[in-house]
Amino acid sequence: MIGGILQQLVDGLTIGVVYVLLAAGLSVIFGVMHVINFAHGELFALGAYFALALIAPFGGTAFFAALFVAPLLVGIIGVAIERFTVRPLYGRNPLYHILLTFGLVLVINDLIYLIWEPGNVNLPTPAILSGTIDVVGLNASVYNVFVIVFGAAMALSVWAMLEHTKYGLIIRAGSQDRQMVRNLGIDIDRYYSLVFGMGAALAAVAGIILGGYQTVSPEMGMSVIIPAFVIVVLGGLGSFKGAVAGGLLVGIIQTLLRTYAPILEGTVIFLLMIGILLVRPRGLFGVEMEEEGGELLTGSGGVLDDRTRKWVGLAAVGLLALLPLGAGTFYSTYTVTLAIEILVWALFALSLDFVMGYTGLVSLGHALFYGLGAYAVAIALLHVSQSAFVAIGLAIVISAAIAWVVGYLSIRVSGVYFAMITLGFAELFYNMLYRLEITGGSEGLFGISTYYGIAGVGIALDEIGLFLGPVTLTGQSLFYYIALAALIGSFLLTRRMLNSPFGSVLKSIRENEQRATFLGYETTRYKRRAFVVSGALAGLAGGLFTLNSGYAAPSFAYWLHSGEVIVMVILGGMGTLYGPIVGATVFFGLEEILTGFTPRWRLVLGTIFLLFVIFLPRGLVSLPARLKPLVTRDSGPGAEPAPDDSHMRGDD
Amino acid sequence: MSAEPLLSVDAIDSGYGDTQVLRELSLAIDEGEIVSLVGRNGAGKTTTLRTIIGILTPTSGTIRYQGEDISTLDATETVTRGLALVPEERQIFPELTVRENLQIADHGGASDVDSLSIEEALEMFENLKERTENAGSSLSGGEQQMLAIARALVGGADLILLDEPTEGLAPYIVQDVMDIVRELNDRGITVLLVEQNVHVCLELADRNYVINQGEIVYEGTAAELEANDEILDRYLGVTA
Repeated sequence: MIGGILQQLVDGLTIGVVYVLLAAGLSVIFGVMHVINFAHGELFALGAYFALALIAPFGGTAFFAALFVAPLLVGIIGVAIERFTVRPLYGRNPLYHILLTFGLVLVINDLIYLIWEPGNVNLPTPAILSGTIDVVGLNASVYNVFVIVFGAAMALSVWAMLEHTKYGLIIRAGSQDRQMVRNLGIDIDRYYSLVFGMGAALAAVAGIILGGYQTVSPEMGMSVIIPAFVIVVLGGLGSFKGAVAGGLLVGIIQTLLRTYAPILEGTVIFLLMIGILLVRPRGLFGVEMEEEGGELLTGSGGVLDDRTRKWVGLAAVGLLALLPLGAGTFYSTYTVTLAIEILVWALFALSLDFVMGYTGLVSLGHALFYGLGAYAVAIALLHVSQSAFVAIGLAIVISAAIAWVVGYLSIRVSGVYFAMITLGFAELFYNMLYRLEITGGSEGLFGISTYYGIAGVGIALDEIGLFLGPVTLTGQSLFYYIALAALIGSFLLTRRMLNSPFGSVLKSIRENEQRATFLGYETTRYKRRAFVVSGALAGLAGGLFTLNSGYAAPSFAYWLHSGEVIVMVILGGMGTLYGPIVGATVFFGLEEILTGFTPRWRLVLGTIFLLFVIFLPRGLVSLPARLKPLVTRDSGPGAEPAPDDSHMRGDD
Repeated sequence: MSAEPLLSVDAIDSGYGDTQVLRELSLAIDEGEIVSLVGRNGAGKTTTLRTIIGILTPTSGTIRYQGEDISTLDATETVTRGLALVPEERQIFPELTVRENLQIADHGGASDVDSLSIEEALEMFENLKERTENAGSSLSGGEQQMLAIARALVGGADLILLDEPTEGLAPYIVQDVMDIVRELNDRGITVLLVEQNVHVCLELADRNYVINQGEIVYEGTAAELEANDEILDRYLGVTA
């Protein structure tokens, strides 16, 4: 038993060291540049793949050379990423860095798929590191011992560099007050690239040693990034000490649980993070940081006046209502299926916009509510009643109730910590879905049928068909109208709320929470209410999806889903309600078109998204206002004299 | 005194975004002087300093230092030429030790006055010498002010821009700060002192500029300003 535990500890330390190297870079990058780098996991995977490519021609003995060269290459990529994508965003709200690096995840991950084969590959290690060794009576693998010693040496040298060199001093000072560092004549921007490169190199080292310990796969980055964030957050953002303590702690806990309490594996670290944040909102070793300014850029302020806008809206709704009528005649019935998915996601995106665009609460875990709604519907239909109305009602109530609890616990922390704690709740739920019996484990719940009615009276859409002359309305088409009604209803409801005094308070919170407080508003309560409304609507979206498709799967609550819905909101234009609807349409439209050409559509989508975040942060809906000056100048009556032309430009 | 002033600010406009704060503001400082810029809250004092050091760029007008145009240089460049800003509320690094706070400034700026070594700076500020390993945040307000000034000296400043050095300090500490400013001046360092406290200016400065709504409304020696009841009353709220 004791021997077993010791063995577990060695394994735990090995994984812990990997986490430490990963989290250290992540934490320092945040500390200095306030960038939450979601792409860190992909840099980690890149390290392993580069090593794989370097070792391949020479065999395992080249491992040590690769351990040096691959991180160097990844470091250079890190410098390039900082210089060309992260740098233009300094001074904006940290949210934009989250979005940017999320786009980078899509791009780098697809590049990995493009260049290397999918599936697990072994990273060859030298013979010298195979076999076992006796360490104080314990039979440990040489590789484990090597990883622990090597990792400890790396961590120690990074620490020494931070504490005892001029470079480290500047980094530490920069994480406290960037402008003052500049005022002392130090060009701190130059150091940003180096810090980013160094963090990337450390991640690469971690990727290589984990690759040698387990295997290398394109998904390896996605699977470590969330635990790495948990470590950074619970250790304290920006704290190197915290990254070390948190990394080792999580590595050991995870390994021990895998053996002794597998049901808790994957959930405990999130509970730990949430618990620590509630007691110590800045993490174990975190310190008070300068509050990041930079407003959230909303897409409001269009070119249309209210009347025109209303007509455009009505026309859009009219066209949407006609869409199913042409299915089977002008286009395939698949169009309706796609349109339903867009409507559902548009509703999901709208729900996020309500909290993100209007109260400034950046929820990184909104897939939690979508998943809750989906599973609530599935479970209700299977165990409570086959009535769709009962199921959807339950989905809304449960999502709202959980949103209240999550809101109650998380709204006390703000900014990046709020984003992280919501992410933590979503991942907690995601992991529970895998482990609970009632949710059907990794397979999820499927084969669910329903009828539209109550108390046994109603109609089942699967078996229905309405024949109106040349037009056939299938059950799918009829469901389309239900989804459309839900979206329009939610849009009108949220718009009404925002135009009420309640909405004015929400907007004032987004602009400046402190001032709203000074006006006597208890902002926490307003934010919580908005969060509940948003959670309920997201639950409605998830519930609708399950009603139509007849299944619910754990991936509904995966963090990539939360990321995608943020992408849609930004793509369309945050803080507008209709922007996210546009965003969802364009997102799925692009996906639809791109998948026709390449299976690597995320690469293209990710690139488009990166360009949006950098160049058009207010989203598609801001495009007309941006183009207007150009258009009016070109289409002026007759040839405008030159002076007038310059006058137009001066007007912008 | 040399023919050209050490620093000359000529008709600058400056501000934040669309908000213009300074309107054709001009002033000049000769080498070795202590010059004060005095005015009420919101008059544009801090904006003036931030524009000179290069955190803000003037939208028109020029700033010359040692005969060179520095209008468009940013803070990292002006500091290496011998300017230093000791900002409002000191802005020392709270998590770094006193010694580290000084080390970070020690990067050898181009300077006529030899920059002080860290040891020399500590010698000058006895309070700091006893606490070199303490975190910056553990210092009192007065000590933090001393540290911020010491940091400028270690950075090799020829011209120190002091932003409200006595703000929020107890009266007997204000006296200490004033002694330090005099000592700096004795070492050949030129000082542009921004203050709300007229009495500090009158006691320290060779010449005074009075600023109101982004414009210089008066210039004179301490004796002249002290005698000018109208200016004191109208712009500074001091009744003689």
